[in-house]
Amino acid sequence: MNEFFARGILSLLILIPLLGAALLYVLPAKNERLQRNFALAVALVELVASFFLVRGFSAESYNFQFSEFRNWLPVETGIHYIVGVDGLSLILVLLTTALSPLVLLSTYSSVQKNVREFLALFLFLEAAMVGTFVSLDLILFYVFWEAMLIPMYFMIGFWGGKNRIYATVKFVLYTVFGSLLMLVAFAYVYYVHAQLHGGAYTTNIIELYKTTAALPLNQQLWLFGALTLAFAIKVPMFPVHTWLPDAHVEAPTAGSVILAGVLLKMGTYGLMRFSIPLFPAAAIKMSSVMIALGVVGIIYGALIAWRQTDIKKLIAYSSVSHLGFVVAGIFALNTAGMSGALYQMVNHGVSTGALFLLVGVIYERRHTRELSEFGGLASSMPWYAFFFVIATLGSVALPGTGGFVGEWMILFGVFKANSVLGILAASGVVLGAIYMLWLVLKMFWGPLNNSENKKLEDVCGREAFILGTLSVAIFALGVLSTPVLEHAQASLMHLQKTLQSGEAYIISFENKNSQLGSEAPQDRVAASERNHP
Amino acid sequence: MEDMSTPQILLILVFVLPLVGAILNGFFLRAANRHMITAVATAAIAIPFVLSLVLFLGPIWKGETVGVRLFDWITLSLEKPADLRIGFGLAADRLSGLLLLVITGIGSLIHLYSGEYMSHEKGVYRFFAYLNLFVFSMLALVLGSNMLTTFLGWEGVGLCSYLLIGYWYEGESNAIAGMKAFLVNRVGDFGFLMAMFLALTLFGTLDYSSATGVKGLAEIVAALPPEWFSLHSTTITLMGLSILLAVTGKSAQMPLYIWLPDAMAGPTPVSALIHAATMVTAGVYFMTRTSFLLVHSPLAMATIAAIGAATAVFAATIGFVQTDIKKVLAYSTVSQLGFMVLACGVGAFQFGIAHLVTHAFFKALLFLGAGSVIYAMHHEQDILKMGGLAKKMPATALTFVIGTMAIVGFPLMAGFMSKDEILYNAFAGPFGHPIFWALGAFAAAGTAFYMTRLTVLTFFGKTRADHHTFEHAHENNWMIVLPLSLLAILSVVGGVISVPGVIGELFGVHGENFITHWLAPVLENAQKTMEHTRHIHEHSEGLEWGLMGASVGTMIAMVALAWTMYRKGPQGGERVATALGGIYRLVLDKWRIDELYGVVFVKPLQITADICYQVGDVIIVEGLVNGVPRMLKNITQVASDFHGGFVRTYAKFMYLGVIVLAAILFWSLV
Repeated sequence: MNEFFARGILSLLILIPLLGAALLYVLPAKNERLQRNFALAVALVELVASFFLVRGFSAESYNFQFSEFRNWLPVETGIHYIVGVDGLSLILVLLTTALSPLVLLSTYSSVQKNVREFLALFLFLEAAMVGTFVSLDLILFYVFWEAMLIPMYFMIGFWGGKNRIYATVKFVLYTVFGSLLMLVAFAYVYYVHAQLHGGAYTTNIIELYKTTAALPLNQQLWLFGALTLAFAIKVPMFPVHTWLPDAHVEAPTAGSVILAGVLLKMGTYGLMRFSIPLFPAAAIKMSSVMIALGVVGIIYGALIAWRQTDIKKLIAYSSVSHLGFVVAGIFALNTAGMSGALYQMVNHGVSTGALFLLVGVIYERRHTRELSEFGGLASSMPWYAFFFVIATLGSVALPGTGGFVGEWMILFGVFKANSVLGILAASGVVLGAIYMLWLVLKMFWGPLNNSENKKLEDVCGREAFILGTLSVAIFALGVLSTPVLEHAQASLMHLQKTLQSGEAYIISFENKNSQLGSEAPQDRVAASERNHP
Repeated sequence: MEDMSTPQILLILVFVLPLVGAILNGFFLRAANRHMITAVATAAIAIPFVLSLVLFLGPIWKGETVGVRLFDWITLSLEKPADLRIGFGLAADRLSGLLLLVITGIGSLIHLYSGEYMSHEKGVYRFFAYLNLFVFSMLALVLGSNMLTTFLGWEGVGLCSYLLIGYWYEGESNAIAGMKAFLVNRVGDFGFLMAMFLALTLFGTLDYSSATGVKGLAEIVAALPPEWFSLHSTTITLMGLSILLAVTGKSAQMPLYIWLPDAMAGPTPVSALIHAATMVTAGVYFMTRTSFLLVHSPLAMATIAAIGAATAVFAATIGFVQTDIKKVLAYSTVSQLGFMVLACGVGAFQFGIAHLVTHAFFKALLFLGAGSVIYAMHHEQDILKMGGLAKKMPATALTFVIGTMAIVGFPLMAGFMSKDEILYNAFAGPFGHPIFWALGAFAAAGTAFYMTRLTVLTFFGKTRADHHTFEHAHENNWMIVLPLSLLAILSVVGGVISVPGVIGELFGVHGENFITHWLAPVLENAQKTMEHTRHIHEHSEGLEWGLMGASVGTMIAMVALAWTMYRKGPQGGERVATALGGIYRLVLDKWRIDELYGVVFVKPLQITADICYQVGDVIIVEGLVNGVPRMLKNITQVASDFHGGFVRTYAKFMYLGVIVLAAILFWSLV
């Protein structure tokens, strides 16, 4: 049994939802209740299966675990089915499998048309998300990455709001634009590896890490740029973020939650799995620029969020701000920043996921998301207000919530890497509170004037269960960071080693240049100080 | 964790019980009757008070520090030489121990009082859940063994303050006041974050001392040679100023004091507990806690003293003209907090703490007295519509007068003792300067005036209340009068903790007074540094008598002046007001600082945000993304419905773009 899990659990995690999606069509077409329950059961089985992953995971090792290597495409292409998890992907896989059942539970009321199709797409999406996180082959990763687009495309395009077609097209085109750049970069890496290794083709990233890290610096910079732009669109980073508000506003609740909860993390995950370890020297060179873009995202996203009148759009823009923190933390390139970024991916998934669910709850009751329609809801929906305030606390990173730990580590990491940018990033702490408290003020406090809001039903048992679970998670993450992040420690440490070799590479590269007569840049010392406090 | 000593267990209980109370009230007693709720809430604070007393008179009295590390909170792996494990830890030393008594002691009284004061409110469970949660957060603040745990309390009290100011959330202005408090405090919290980052960068730890088994800042700083500090003087000053920024937020100092007067929108017991006795004094606690760092930066110390002195004076001027009983007390609190901050800034941290304690007694008393009046007057807060209440509410009036005597510095009462020591040190302390003394003395004179005015207009003279309200006003029951009486006693005798030297001599007590002796272990490092780096004036009895005489004389004069002006009602003051004209209007409008901030900070931020959205997102980014395909569409004259055509050209453009970019990429690489 153990042997089986060790060798096949990751494939199983991809297959369970896929199989579930197929089996939905065996169930009686008319019995939507049964279909819903079945899909939920599948997601729960998936969750339980993912617990085995944690149980069997060895936190001491930075190696990919539970790895599987299977032939897939013709052997001479060098493209294989390779999957495996390290601490980084383990945590994100768990985020995916834990959020999915909660989201499915929320669709019991929010999705009413073509239920079976929606559920099947959702399970398909879950498989693709897990697949993306565990792929260790460029092409396999690319396939899963693109596969995620399909269900999202239909979810927004078919179950979405008024402007769904516009939003869908924008979402898909932005992402495809990025994906193609990614493909170009992958293709080049594939090609250059074969050139350097006597025609031996491979797309195995573990092997490619060595090749790419040794490429000339200007090539690294170009490839890093292409890849990072692709991921930046997904994150989304300023200034390629404008697809996000539209997609969020038009997406059905379940789509928004999974979009904010997991899909955005594909971008930041990509930065940590591909951009940085493939091109460490380029990442070091570009770190200040990337932190700065992250900081702009923090401030810009927060300011814009504050001026929104559509609740969902406000939360959507808040994601731009939150993900700005994550990107800044990653490109601080030190452990504080990176562990914080990883942790914040989880926290953002939980608290923003909760906020989107909360928006869905009120939308189902009032069929509007205009802020001016609300006010004083604390009187008519006290429990709803309670859960909303808890999610808000997570979002504004109050100490005691997971958001605080993540944000604190990120800010410290950025501060250490670049104190000026660290100070600017920390201003997000104030700005983040402005838009969230403003939202809470306008929705919940004040007199209950609008007669439509007077007889609103408070959250029902099912909704309370979902929101309660997420609320507990918000506080649990506030105290459990050490045991959670322990799992990723070895992987992050390994990433630091890669970066150190990247630094050594820059130094030798520049020495070569200076011997040729050009002057060695001065920021080398600064770079080494950053990583050796 | 497994072999914990009894004091450690007691400490954990003290810390956790208020949280248990909050959870019980918040989730399980929603439908219970108010007596049950009050009893649970009060017990959740009173039991910790008793346990605190045991700790205080036991290990803490002996000078031991009770420390316990609960769990690893944030672990920064890989940092050389080893992982940095920041624990969630508690530590009760003499400083925390003293504040523990103040928080749980006054907290219990105020919980009891609230049981009556809030008895007509619906959903009172919510009030007590918040109030218990507040005490829990406050305990985290003073018991935290490192800056991170303190910060949990620091922001936690801010949250509770937000929730309690907006307790009557149906009134939008209350909710706005709560939001303002939270946001202004966040600006201060930004400073706290910076202080933490600087401490970590410089010293590699956030723990104050080795109470929980980690090498703390105090030990590390004490071991550093003077040259180190001259090398890092800028960073140390930055750290001091970051701490000060945090303090100006939480302790309502200039320029961030603006939230506190608005915070009076909350129920009066909240004003007494949070906005007078405990939370707002957190800054003074934090500066004392980090005193060993602050004293290394004369510039930071001078700034702290200047901010404190300026706030003391500035807030006092506004106190002259306010007519809302709670607003007067609020500005008075800002002013008194200025005194405490001034004490820290001149290097007399122990007297900052002494004043914190005595102020907690008399200001809680004054607020609760005001609440008693408001409660009896059916929520009337305008002192112009009061007067003559002494006859109706003798106990409230008597205790209020005692509170006033304490705050204005009537000789030998609590406020006199602590304030006198601050003023002396403002003049002759390690970082003192006659200017600081002058400002402090001016603020003290102002206090004597506006507090007398407040007392006289509320309780004496002929009543200006309408007949009906006045007739029905009566003394409140024991749940209100008992806390008032106990606090009144403390306001009389509480000054015993910081008896000025010359007064002590009169009673045959020699040497340093209680607070100096008590806090000596906490302030040891700071004292040593100040002795080495500052010129400490020889204690002069003549100077002390002189300064004391001056302030007592001024106080009596101001009390007399206010008494004569307002004895017959507010007309006396109005005459002066008319004579002052514009200045009076300006002060009445609180110097229009809120309006100034609106113009200087809020509006520009709004405009920037609008520009970001309307210009940045809608026009530039979106315009670019949508505009180019639209333009292409116009050029190619695609005759089709808007959406379809738009989408198709959009797609065409995007693919075209990708191909071009890919070509460039390949070109540059190959």
